[in-house]
Amino acid sequence: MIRAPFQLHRPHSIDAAVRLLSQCVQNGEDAKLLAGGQSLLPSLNLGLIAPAHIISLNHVAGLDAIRRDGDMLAIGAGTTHHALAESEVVQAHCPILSETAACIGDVQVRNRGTVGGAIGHFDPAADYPPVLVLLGAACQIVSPHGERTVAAHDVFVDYMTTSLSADEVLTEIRVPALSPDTGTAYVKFTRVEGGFAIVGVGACLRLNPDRTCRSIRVGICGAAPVPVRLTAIEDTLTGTVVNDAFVEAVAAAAYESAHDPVAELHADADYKREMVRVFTRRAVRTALERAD
Amino acid sequence: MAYIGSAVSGILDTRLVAGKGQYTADVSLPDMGYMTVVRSPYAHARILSIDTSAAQQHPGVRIVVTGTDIQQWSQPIPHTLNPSAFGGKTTDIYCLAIDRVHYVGTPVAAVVADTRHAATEAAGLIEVEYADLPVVIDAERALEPDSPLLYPEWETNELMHVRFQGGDVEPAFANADHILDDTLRLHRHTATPLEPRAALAHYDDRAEHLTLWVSTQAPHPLRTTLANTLNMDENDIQVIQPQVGGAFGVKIPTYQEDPLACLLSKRTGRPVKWIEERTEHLMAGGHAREQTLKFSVACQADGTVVGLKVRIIGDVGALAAVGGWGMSYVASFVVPGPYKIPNCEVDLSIVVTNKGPWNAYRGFGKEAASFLMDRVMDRVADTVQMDRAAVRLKNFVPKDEFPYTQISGATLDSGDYAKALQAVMDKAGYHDFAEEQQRLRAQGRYIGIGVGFELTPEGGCIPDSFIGGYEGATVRVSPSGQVTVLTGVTSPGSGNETGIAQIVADALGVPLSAVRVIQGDTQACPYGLGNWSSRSLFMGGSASLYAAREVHHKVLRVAASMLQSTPEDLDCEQGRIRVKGQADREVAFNAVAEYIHKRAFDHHAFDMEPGLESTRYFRMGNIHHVPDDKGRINTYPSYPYAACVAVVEVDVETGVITLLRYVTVHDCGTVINPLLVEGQFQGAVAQGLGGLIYEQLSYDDNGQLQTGTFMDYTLPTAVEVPSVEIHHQEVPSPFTPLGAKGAGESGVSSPFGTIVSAVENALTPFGVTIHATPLTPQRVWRMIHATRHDNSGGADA
Ligand SMILES: Cc1cc2nc3c(=O)[nH]c(=O)nc-3n(C[C@H](O)[C@H](O)[C@H](O)COP(=O)(O)OP(=O)(O)OC[C@H]3O[C@@H](n4cnc5c(N)ncnc54)[C@H](O)[C@@H]3O)c2cc1C
Repeated sequence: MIRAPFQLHRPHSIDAAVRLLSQCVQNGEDAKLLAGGQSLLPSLNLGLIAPAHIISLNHVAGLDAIRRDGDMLAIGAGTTHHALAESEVVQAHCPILSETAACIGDVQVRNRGTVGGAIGHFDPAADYPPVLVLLGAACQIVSPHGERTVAAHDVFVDYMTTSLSADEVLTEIRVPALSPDTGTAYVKFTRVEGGFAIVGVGACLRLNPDRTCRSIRVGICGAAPVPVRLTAIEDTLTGTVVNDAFVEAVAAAAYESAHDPVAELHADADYKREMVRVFTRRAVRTALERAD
Repeated sequence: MAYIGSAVSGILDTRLVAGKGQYTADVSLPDMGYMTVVRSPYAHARILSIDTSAAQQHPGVRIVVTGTDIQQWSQPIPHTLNPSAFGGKTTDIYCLAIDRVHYVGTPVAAVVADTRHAATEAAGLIEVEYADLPVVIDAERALEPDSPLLYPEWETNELMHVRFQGGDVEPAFANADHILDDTLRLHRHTATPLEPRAALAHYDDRAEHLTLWVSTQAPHPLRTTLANTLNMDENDIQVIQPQVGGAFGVKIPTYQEDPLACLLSKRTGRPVKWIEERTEHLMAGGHAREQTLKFSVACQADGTVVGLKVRIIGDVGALAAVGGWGMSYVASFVVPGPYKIPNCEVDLSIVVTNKGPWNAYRGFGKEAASFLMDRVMDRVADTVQMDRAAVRLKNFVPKDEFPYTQISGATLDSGDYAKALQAVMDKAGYHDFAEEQQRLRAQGRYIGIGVGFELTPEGGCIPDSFIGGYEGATVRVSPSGQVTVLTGVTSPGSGNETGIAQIVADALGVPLSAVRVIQGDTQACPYGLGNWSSRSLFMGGSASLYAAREVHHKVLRVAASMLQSTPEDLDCEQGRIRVKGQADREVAFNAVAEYIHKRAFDHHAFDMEPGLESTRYFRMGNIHHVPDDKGRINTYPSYPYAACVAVVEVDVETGVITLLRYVTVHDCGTVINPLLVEGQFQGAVAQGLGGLIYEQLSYDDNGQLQTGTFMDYTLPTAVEVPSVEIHHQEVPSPFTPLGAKGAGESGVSSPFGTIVSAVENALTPFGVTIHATPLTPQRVWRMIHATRHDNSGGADA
């Protein structure tokens, strides 16, 4: 049950939402944006937060738009996981993102929860962040001071902390349209269907005609409080032959990168590190199969 | 017999599935207030003071109470099972803690306010000052002489010590070929019904009458307990059970919140509603299972078990009035289960710790005994290098030795255990499995098969308690031929009303649609003990059958007179009463009913007692409360059982277990409705699997619960639970009129032993032996890798 009373605002435009939010901030009153509510409501129910104001983004028109913009895809922050999973544009040009969206929570969560909310909440086990980081996604952020674009990598700064300030609203996420020969995979290790990731690994792989690696990118959640990207090994392996040793090299680098996993009751740091290795191996293998 | 034995779908199914059921939370009264309970954040502390002044002032607050008020206004809640009746210790439990808290979640104060929000806000304003006491959360530590004590006046944390012994154990061990010792650990988890606990109390001070709508399994005993606790006459209390959204045992007893809500309604003169939150349920709704099971088994080279010594330490948390500690008693009572091991001893310590109190949970200790005996048999088989099923077949109580009395007094009623096990092995392809296993192993895949056997004593009947071996029912036929059945048993959503309607429809020869079953209202239904221990259909159904037969007898008498025939010559089916073999000589059941009601002084009904109604009670056989020459009593009349085979795959890279198949041959005697039995069995396996692999109530060293929400308390989903393949073997109970035994609990116990056995089988190349639950991926992975030379975390594929 939601414990403390709050005032609910339902602005119809981003401008109005931004205005409301900054008013609250200026008045020193705690305010929270509401998207799908799939993380906000549990936090309210458990009494973890008790904002005086809740500003719903659910009446802002166009916040859930998905469009092709040159060699980018622009995805409205209010796009639900379900819409992202089912979007033909996303499936065609950035299939790893729809695969990721499709494995989040259960049907109810996917019908309500949004990509913007997932970024705003930034659970260390959330599925989008590692994928957005590996894709080199950019986030459009609006505040009373104007608009800025921030690389996903710079959004996720620490345990459950983003670089968005209290008066900022995320409006859009921009990801590159991948070339059709890119093999992509997001694999996720959970206790049960619909559960949060113990470890989640995204991989994108392109091959040269001689089956050497043209490019590889790997993003991981569960290895650390923030998403991990394996930049060094990605560079090292580019141009090398893709074989079992290649896969093992990525997996080993992933294991090394998992220096600070968030320990859980049933998955301690050592185990998580091992699982980072296992699921990286699986993600790269699947990406490779799909790159052929 | 038109309906008995057929797969009639539940008569309430459509309504419940369409969301039209009425649960306690759906019942509302004008001007009702909401209760919030303040609970201890500490595992063990003295309450120094409670300041309620700010809460009292809070807008909308009607009343704030603490233990001091409760002690003045009410009595301790009678224990559902009083440990002192079993030679154990006890303590008084009031609705709120008086001066000491023993676990995180102990209720210490309560608020009623106009709204849930106001009540919750006010609860946050109550200031309780605690003085920390040392915490003990481990039962073995709690038994040490220098352990902190929960109840200092006991001078120990041992709530009870029990010993069962039979035969000559020491000589048997001295002469055995092999002796094996092991220690098993079952972890703490519990039932999580979809509908949490809920109550709506309404004390009407003009009528001086209390009505309680409550999500309970046992309305009549609850009423009696409320009267005791609240210093009221039973006549002034009505308990109504709306639909219940799952119970699994946790709603059998009287909780502290039930009389508390009633008391606060009485004090405020207005209705009080309380709906448990999931976090409250997980910390204070009652726990189960956590036990250490040590065994030493003596066997011969041919697999015959000649002696068994068992030591059980039950960690039952703090003591509450709900009687959950009884599960550890039952665990020891059931040993050695379906096996003939005359030289046997069981030593049980039931121990209190600073964790949530135990409360009844499906299985009720039988799962611990089942796990123990499955492990014993597996270890014996491995030692003498025999097939695990063959060892069980060698040691079963033979089918011609029933009734068979175990060392505890448990008197097994009937069965053919060997036949069930052989049948399930055939159905599951047990004998051909090794070939497929080898084939997949070559590909780096590890599948395994395991057998298990659960004996599930049902219909528990404990002396001097409301856990009793009888039931009552009324069958009433209206002038239009409509049949009402009022039962003392209730349904937690398991569908027994359908089974009861089938029995009554058959007994009266009317269509099922003419029968309405009414349960769970103390003002309407005959006194009965409610729903638990799988008793509703075989006890409540038997009482209903008796009552229906009596009514039917009158109908036949009148019909025979009308048709100028004799009762013996009449057939009744689907509401038509015919002279056998003469299609033209018939009268409608409805017409006879109408005649009996309207023409009691006419010649067909004149020489008979008027009315078409009967209330009958059924007394279960095979219950022995007078000790035999060895001092034993039998508290369970019916012993259904299930032989099971599980097929699993283990991902050796992650430790994840996937249950691929679960096959059973189950004997609950005569099956009244296979759909009901199979539905219950399927759900029970889901809970057993959940308990074995996913669910855990875990505490840190300070007694803080670490798994207080469904984020951390992991339940399996439909994806993890396979469709159970259920086959029936019907060996009728000699003690019920239809031959039915208990069904409903069965299936929750066997997954422990069966799946563990299958996992070990899958992991044979790694030489893994399993001693403890839960089988989380991390634990399984560690076991695999502890035995591996190549410790790379590695690529097997
Ligand atoms: C049962 C369950 C299972 C789940 N399983 C998974 C899972 O497997 N994987 C996974 O990744 N997630 C999972 N989630 C979380 C889910 O993805 C949430 O939908 C998501 O984290 C939040 O999105 P939302 O739209 O619901 O945001 P809300 O809950 O409404 O908001 C979340 C936070 O983001 C802020 N916010 C919302 N929109 C914006 C914006 N435009 N700009 C700035 N800040 C904003 C809010 O103020 C709030 O702090 C699960 C949730 C549940 C309830």
